[in-house]
Amino acid sequence: MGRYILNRVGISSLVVLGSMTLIFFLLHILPGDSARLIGGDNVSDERVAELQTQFGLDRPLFEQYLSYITGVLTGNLGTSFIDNQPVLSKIMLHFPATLTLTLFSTLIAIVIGVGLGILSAVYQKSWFDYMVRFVNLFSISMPSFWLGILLILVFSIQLRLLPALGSGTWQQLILPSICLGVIGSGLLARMVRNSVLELKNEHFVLALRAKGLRERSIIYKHVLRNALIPAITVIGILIGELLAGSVVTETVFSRQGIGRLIVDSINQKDIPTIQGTLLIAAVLYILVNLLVDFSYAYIDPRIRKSLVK
Amino acid sequence: MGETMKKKRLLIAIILLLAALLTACADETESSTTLSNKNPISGGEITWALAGTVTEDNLDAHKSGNAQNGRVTRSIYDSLVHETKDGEIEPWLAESWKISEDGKTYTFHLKENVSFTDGTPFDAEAVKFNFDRIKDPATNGTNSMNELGPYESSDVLDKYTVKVNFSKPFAPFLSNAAKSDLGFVSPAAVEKFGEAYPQNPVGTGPFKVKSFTPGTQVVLVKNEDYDWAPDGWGHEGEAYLDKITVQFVPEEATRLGVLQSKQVHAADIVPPQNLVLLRTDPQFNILETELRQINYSMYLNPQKEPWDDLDVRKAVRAALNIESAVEIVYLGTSEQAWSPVTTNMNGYAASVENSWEYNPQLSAHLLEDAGYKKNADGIWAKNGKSLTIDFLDTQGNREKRIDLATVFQNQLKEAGIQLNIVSLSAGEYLERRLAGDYDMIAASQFSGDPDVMRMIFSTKGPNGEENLARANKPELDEWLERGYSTNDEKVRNENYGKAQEYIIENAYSIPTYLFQYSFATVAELKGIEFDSPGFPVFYDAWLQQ
Amino acid sequence: MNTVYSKAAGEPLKKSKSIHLKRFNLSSVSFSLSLIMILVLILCALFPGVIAPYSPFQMNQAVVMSPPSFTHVFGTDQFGRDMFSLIVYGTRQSLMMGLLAVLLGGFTGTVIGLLAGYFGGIIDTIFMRLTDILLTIPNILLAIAISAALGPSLLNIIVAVSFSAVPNYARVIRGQVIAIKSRPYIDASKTIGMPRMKIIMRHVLPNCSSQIIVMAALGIGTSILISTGLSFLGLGVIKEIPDWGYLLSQGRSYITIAWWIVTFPGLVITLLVIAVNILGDELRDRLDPKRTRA
Repeated sequence: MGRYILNRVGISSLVVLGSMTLIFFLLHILPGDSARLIGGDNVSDERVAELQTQFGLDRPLFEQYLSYITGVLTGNLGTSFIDNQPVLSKIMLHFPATLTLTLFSTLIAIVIGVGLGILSAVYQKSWFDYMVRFVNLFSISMPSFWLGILLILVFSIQLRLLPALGSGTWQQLILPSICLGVIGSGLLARMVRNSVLELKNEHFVLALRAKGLRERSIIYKHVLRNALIPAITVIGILIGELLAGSVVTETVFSRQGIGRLIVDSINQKDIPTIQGTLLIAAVLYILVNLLVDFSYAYIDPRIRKSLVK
Repeated sequence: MGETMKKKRLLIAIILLLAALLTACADETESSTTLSNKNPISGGEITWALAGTVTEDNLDAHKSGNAQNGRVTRSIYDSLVHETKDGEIEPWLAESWKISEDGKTYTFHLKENVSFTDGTPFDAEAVKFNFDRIKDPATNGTNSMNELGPYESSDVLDKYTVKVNFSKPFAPFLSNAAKSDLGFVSPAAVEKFGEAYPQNPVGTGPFKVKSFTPGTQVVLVKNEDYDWAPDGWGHEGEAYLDKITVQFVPEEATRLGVLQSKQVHAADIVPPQNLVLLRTDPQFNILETELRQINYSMYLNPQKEPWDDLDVRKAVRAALNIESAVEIVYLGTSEQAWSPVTTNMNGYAASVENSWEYNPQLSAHLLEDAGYKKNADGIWAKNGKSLTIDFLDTQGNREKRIDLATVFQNQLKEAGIQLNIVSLSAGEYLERRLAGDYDMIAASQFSGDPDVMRMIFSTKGPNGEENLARANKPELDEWLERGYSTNDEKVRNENYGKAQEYIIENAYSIPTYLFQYSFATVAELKGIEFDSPGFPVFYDAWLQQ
Repeated sequence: MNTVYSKAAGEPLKKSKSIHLKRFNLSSVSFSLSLIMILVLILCALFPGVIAPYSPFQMNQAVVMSPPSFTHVFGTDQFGRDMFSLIVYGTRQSLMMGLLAVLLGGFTGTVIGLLAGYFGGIIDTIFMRLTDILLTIPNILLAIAISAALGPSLLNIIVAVSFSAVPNYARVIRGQVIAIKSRPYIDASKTIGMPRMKIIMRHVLPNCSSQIIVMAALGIGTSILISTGLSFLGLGVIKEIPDWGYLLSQGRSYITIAWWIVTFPGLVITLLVIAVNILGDELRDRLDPKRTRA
């Protein structure tokens, strides 16, 4: 197990390094002179040259890359083009809000998704099942900002039940979490439903049935425990999706957060900040999936055994 | 302001009055709030949904070039002088001033007992510190640096007297000094926070920053020591409101939605479709003001074929029905612009109004004479090249500018000219603009003085030969040079008038619409005014309970 | 999503060279509705002039923002253009963006998957680590970064959207290829001296085709949603005939006074994505004998 963990951590660190490289070169093929963009519309040539030196933009690309990598390794994500602030402190300022939103919407996704998934599998081919499946399909097929705008229109503007804007109070968390959570729940419900259905026809279930156990107790005591294990892997993917979804959701609901930071820095062509936020998103995604892998290995006895061997 | 606009306003006023009377008849208690002229009361907290996002460094008066930031910093920072709506310069932080014979030095006597909200006294040293800071390239204050023009140095004559020196006469200075971009930051705070100053802004204004979450909101609270309001404002002493929470809401629909459901007290830049509705709703007040600026105008590239031909430029202009386009897009909330500058700008040349017209026949005629023939697609063509305009854009649909271009695209197509809207990243846009690799671009430029024309139309402006219009004519350079280097209003107006007429005559600029900055509030929020460039002033604002 | 597909990756299909349409259970209502929906949209894309009652350019000041009625079934937009006609004309570009992104992403991913799976070793390691890296950046973020870097143009958006789909294809195809490689008929082909390329094209690729088709069908939906998201964030393209994403992102400003401008394009996008999802699910169920019919 220890070797397994070490191995996975090692591979993941390499992947992080790869993502960093990819993001760096992707953003540095940008057309246009960054220094001229920083200086604004009426900047003099001397000032452009000065800014180039200040941000190290006059050095060869590979040199810039090396100093970026060494910077990141020492916890320095660079300085924003726009306001000279360390990128890391900008990210830290916006991170808590996104984390709250992601956790809350994951919670909603799990409660709704797992619940509906199980129920619609248990009552397979009933009207309830059909309805749940249709709603799920609808929720994963909607553009998320469209859902957000409709939620604001109905719950905030028409019914005046919940605030549409801002981040701070718990009331302000509800609509955006629902917006994100609903989409996540669609993915999760499909997954849970499928894995429950598959297990319903497995040999051990058939054996239990033959032993005369009641269907209900078979489902709740034996099938669910096994069906939920694969659902854990989905949560890893889900968190990635939710992080990405926060870009759109935070914009619609005018919330503080990493997603909004990315959009703003793209609008301002603030490359170091875009770079930093993408990197943080990638690292988060890798971390979550690493945790998922470990917990998966821990929970599923078959995998645990194969690893011990 | 046009005649029709005034009539519309009058009509709306009458409707509003009738509505008020009706509600008064229907409900006794309503009438006391609708009709009475209660005196302002202190206290109250408001939330304002700001159109746009204010980020980390934007609360530094000297660094923030965008209008949305100025709308916030106006409440935090004071200026040397105050400019009234009619362009009169009045005392503010400066009690009096003297301009030297040659127009190169300004001597200001400052008000005593003014202090920053961190306790630092405001004095001659502070003025010198601020102006020097703006001129320092490391501050990176493009806009404010531009507004200081040929600034050289400041001399502290005594604690409350400061002499500001320019290398050349610089007429726009007093008007610029009234703007928040040349407002005063606390030297002590800049020293203390260094690079982090913009997140900890300190001014002498009627409000101070209590907390600032970049990208999300800023909370302003009343400056209880405030006692130096300019005479032009409605009262003395501290402001009425206790607290203003400014939330940054770039999403139009959300911004207006939260106002209509009264989750906020105010929202600015109301889109035309909502403006039309809100104007007739007695629950809301709409304030509008015309900004002083270079109008959003289309610039055909006269250094590129075939736009080097005046007749072809004129043919494009004659094919555009700007009046109708503005009506469609802005639903009657804006009017057609005729000059490069707004009508309220000093030196505005009314002579250019109606100096061209929508005339498709003329357009066709001009193109025929220039040797064009319509091809199979109904587009004019010459030597196998069809008349196509690549219009570069990087800003998107701000102020419905893409909508406007879409209508133009339609009109031009009808006249046999193809318009392509090419949206680019800012970097690519800048690169192609500087290289002159485009057929048409468009922009507005915010400013309080006609000297801003130098930026767009003169080779001696900050953009040199790569200026937006690329007319690059010595006579134009000269008029614009003469315009700023004298304090004689008559000479200035004469030169700016000549420049405007020349630009329009030669179709170097096709002005489009006069932008109305709109500010919508719930009816209970009263007393909001605008400063000279059109930024909201909350000093006299109060909330009816 | 890859875990969902990889379930099917274990076993190659015996009869998958052609899709047996007659085996489809056409009585399934949702499936037929989806097919009809997609067919109608394809017709709209091919012959917009025949279906749309108005020209998409026709601005009419008299009917600006008028609600749905018999003359304008989906209402009119802020220029007085007929929303129904705009949606019909926008179909071509919207479908094209989805399709091209899927083709490009699918092609690249399949090539990578085939090479990695068939040759194994160092090629496999390199390609798979690359896809691991791509997978770490959530698809819309990757698309945002790419279109921010390249600037908004139709091609750039297609590249951006397809890029994010590559890893999924690559992984699934690789799994499939590894499974097929151990089959006796591949060994047989090798012994009779068939060139490697020929083996891949003749025996390996056809056995992956069902997977590719299923992923592509589902991918169209994702592609359309991502390009809509890009439009919303201001990274879309502005064409003379607007696509659905652009209609939707422009219409959102009018939601409090003219709900139809934003509602109908959103609805059409949602219905299309639902339809391709149902179609994709059905294809998967049909093409994968191991899966239980859900």
